[in-house]
Amino acid sequence: MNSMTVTAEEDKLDEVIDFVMDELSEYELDEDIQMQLELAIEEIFVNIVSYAYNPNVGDAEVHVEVKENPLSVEIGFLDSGVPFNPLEQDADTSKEALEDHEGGLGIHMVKKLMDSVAYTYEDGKNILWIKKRME
Amino acid sequence: MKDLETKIIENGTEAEIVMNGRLDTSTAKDARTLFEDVAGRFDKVTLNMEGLTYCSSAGIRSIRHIYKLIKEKKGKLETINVSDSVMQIFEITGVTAILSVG
Repeated sequence: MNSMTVTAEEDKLDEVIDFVMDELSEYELDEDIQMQLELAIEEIFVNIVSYAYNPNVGDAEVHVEVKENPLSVEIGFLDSGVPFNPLEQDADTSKEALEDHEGGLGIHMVKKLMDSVAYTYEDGKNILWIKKRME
Repeated sequence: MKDLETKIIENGTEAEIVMNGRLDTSTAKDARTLFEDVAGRFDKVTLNMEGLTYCSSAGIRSIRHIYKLIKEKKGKLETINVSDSVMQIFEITGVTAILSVG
């Protein structure tokens, strides 16, 4: 398993995406799966940037682990910010809600696009793992 | 390409916004400003998404924003040439219900 630590700031997003995609470069990902992974990374990382330390700044750790049979990737996001389980909020995507309400959309997309999403709070850290089949 | 390029084709009270690239956390801010400008000046707006390869929730929020602005002035918003992968995101987020998407 490989990991990186970055300051949880919006302009570090490309660095995080590049790190994960480098780790997966040997698997020749289907374009759709690559886009879905990028989306999940963006939504989760931006969530950490927005909520974990605000108004202060802290670190985010990103872990990447590839599993065989079936070939899949697990990506973990860790921060030491305020305890926050994003899976407890979900978006209302009805027509009426879409016209008025804006919250929870990002995590809703992550849940729909990934095969599984799990949250724990351990040793003062928010830990969110996503899993996606790559074949 | 990690940017979003936009071009506005004006025709009387109508405008078409041709989008190329990515609508994400970093590009959605400028897109929002552009959408506000166009929604203020035109009654019928077409979003031509032929070159849009990526759309995150920030992008979805910017699209909802122009939809609301156009709806308030009783105008018309149309979305054309959406790729399959972006369409999947529109469906997941329910945006297809508020847009006439083609």
